[in-house]
Amino acid sequence: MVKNILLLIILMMLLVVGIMKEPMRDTVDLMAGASTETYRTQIDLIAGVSEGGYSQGSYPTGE
Amino acid sequence: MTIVIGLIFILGLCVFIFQKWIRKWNLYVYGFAILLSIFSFTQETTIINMGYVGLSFFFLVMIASTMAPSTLKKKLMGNRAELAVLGSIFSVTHGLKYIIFAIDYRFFWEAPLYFYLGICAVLVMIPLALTSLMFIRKKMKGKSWKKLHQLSYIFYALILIHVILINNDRFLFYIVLTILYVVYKTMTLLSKKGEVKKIKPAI
Repeated sequence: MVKNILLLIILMMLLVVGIMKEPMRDTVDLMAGASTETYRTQIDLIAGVSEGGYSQGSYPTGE
Repeated sequence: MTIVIGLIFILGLCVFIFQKWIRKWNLYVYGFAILLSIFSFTQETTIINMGYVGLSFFFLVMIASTMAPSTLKKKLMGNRAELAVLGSIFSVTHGLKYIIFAIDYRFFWEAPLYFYLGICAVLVMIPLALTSLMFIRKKMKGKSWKKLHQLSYIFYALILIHVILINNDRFLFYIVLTILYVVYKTMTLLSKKGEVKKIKPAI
């Protein structure tokens, strides 16, 4: 039983650390289907799909 | 990290409350998961396409067998096949999405190691998922089913190495999950060995 309680505590701690480290806004955005800085995919960068969290064509142009 | 752990808690709770219902209506649950996967496949970034949903299901499948006897363990073990099949449906979606992405952007042959490990994991997972379906499982001999399902440890290793090698912001989190599973599995194996030794003199 101690084993299960310990598992629960570790998972709870991971959840708390996750909420503290990963902005809730990014998590909610991802749930809504938007790629965010926190949840950017590494493979996107390898494929050259996006840089700096912006998708191609959506860079601020300064105009 | 928040999504994976959050999903683990939500799925655990669902199994705890609806275990019998999930078992009874498993084919409908699979159908719903397939529909959800198809919809997700048509989208670009979703938690299914990114593999978080599949990982959450499989972490529950992995950790369930290592837990101490309890009502939660009993319920998780009772739905283990269903959880594995659902995890497989979502993982196939994740795998297919990335394979198509790699082909589209022409880096399939120059992808990082974790990409190929992911493909290997999906390939190992498919026969395991198919033989977890009750109507196929019933047609197999118990021994050969058990032998085939020894492959699940290779699958677990592949997915854990896959997520660690991605080396993203959640690197440490995946390491903790891996250590947690390895420690819990070792403890379970050791306690089983101890039980066998205790029984032996009586025979």
